[in-house]
Amino acid sequence: MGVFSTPRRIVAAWFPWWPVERLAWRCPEARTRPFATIGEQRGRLVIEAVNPRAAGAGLAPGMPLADGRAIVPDVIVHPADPVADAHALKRLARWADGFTPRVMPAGVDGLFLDVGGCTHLHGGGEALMAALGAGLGGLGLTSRLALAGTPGAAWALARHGEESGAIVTRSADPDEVKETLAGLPVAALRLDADVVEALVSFGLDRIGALYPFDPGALAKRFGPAPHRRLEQALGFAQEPVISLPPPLPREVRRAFAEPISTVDSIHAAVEALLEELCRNLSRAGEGVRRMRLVSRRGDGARSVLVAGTSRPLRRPRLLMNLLSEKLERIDPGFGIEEMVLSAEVVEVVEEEQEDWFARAETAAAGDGWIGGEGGTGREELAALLDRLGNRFGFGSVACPVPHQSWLPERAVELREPLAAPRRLGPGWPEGRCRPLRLLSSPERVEAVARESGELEPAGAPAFFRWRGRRHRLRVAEGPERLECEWWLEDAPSRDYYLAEDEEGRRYWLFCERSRDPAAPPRWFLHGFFA
Amino acid sequence: MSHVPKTKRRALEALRREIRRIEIPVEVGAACLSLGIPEIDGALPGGGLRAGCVHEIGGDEAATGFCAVLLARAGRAPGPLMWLARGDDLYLPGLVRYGIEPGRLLVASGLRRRADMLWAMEEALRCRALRGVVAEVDALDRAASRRLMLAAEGSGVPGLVLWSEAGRGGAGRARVPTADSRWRVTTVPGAGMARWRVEVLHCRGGRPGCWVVEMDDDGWRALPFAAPVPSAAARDLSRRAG
Repeated sequence: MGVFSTPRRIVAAWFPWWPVERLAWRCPEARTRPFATIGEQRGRLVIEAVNPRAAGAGLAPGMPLADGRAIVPDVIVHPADPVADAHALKRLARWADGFTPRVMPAGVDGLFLDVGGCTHLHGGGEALMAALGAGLGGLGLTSRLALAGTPGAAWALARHGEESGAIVTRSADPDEVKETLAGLPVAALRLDADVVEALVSFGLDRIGALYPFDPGALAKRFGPAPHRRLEQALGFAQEPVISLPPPLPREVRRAFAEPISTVDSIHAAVEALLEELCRNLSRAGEGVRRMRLVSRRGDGARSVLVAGTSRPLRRPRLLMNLLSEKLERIDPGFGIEEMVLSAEVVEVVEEEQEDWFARAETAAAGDGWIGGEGGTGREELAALLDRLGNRFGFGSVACPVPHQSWLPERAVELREPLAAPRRLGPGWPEGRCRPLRLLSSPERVEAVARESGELEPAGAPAFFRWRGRRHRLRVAEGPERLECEWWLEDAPSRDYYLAEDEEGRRYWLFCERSRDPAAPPRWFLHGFFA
Repeated sequence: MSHVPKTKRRALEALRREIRRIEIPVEVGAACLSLGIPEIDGALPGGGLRAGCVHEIGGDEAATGFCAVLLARAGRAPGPLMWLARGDDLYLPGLVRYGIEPGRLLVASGLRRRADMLWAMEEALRCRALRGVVAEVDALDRAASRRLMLAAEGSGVPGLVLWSEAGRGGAGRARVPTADSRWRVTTVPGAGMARWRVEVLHCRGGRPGCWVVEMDDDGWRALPFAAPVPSAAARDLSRRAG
């Protein structure tokens, strides 16, 4: 056997819980609690992937979410994101090139590694697979690995092999492979679901059942796929493992033959750097969340500018807007010799989402207020939020929405302005008077309640002292009793009054009544009305 | 001007009117933010607050409510609204009552330094995606005020400068020198929850005036100015007293 006919050695890795275990890198509860990703199919929410706990409880992909919730009420759901899944798989492929340079994604939840010529580095095929399995385990991924002579056979063994263990090895001898594959279901041949269904309906449910057929006869009835896949699995047709292109640099640099120092030349240089960076990012399907511009001067001094964005961006013009204001801070001294622009934090750029803003754009398009090249309303707003965020911090601008809580100070949830718009929960109850301004924590006041027989309503304060000033109250309405949730037994209830002092200022005061009747009521000021 | 003869004075007056007409282009249908109260809208050129301008609104907490109503009316066209707040005490459940839809309003809070606030307001006014901007600024000089006007003019976004009397300074002083209109809105003491005294102190091309408006579930309307406010309060009190 010559060097050139060395049998191929292909490892197929399969991650049965891929989308969920990938998400678990970010939200750890995907590991510890029943967890599912959901997507929309024909107008309803359907479970797309589950974790072992959810599967154990009876949830399965394809099940409507409503049914799933009926079985496991506390299942945590997360929107499915196939784009991010694919991106993460590519990153995993890059990680795996520590074992062999030839790695590529296999389907949506697996990898092929061509380990021919690499196994001896790890002490043999079995040892390599053990190391690979351990490495994947360290990343929190459950994997099934199989080593075979072709990608097709390795794929079939990894996903449908009878061994319960995670690692399967087979020699590359075609006859032996043929024998091993014969017992596996036809789905192991990487066929589309409808082809598998057609084959099974003819009683051809095992790969071995296809062996006696003439390729022409198979192709006539089932298309070319079954025969081609069979040939690939048995090693009669070539199927290379193509390694991914090397990652494009997220750092671009310009060295200047002549040191630059004028504002215009710095601007031009930064624009050129942004063009190049954005080109790289758009090929990788990514956008910048934070970038850093380092300018190095002839005398060795460096100046560093950092700019962040509220969502991944890869348009040079928008990024330039963020940087242009800060460029003044670069002190060119006797001239800048080199500039390095790097994307420090990048994110996958997602598809534009349909939301109220998109509606606004279609509605307003007739009025022609959206102008400029490619400038849509959403982008303008994002540009504004970026500028505000870079100056005041990205938490400073928020979109308040209703949140269900009995405590008025917790009845508002602050959302990120451009976050994917989830449906708003139920609003606040109608007909309740709520102040325009609310002290984030109620302030203790000294108050004297009215005696019965005095002005109605009884129990409302007659006057109170707040921040050293005494306010005499003329009118009051109330009380509106806010009880805490019944399971918080000891929490006090609050009686809210709306009161007006002699100057016409309107206050929201409450009296906290604890469950213990002996304890004196305590008064607080909570907000101001118009 | 006493030495100018009467006929000349009349001619001057006519010329002034002509200049004003040229300077302030209030075409029919020009973008105006109407209040929805015919009495007040009628006193404003074009039937409302001009969009693409900065308006000054001062007073007590009622001014905050007034700004919320104006912002909600500006937000009848779809699009986000922006409130630049000095503190972090703005409370959305209270604003909803004045017509602000949850999910539409973006609130930037904690802009305590005046320079920050002015910068943020200028940026916001430049953003054509917004339908309206409220900023809690206490006072600004002519240059800053002019910058805001230019930013609003370019985008057509109405800007409302909200300042609180409770802070410092007198009531009558102009805070935004180039404001297109200047308002003072205060609560009417002893008159129940939603009755405000709305005063137009100044309006380019319009008439100053004073109204008492009342808000209930159907919206708001002006009460005749002669409405006996104190007696209403007294009635209120006596009703409460039983």
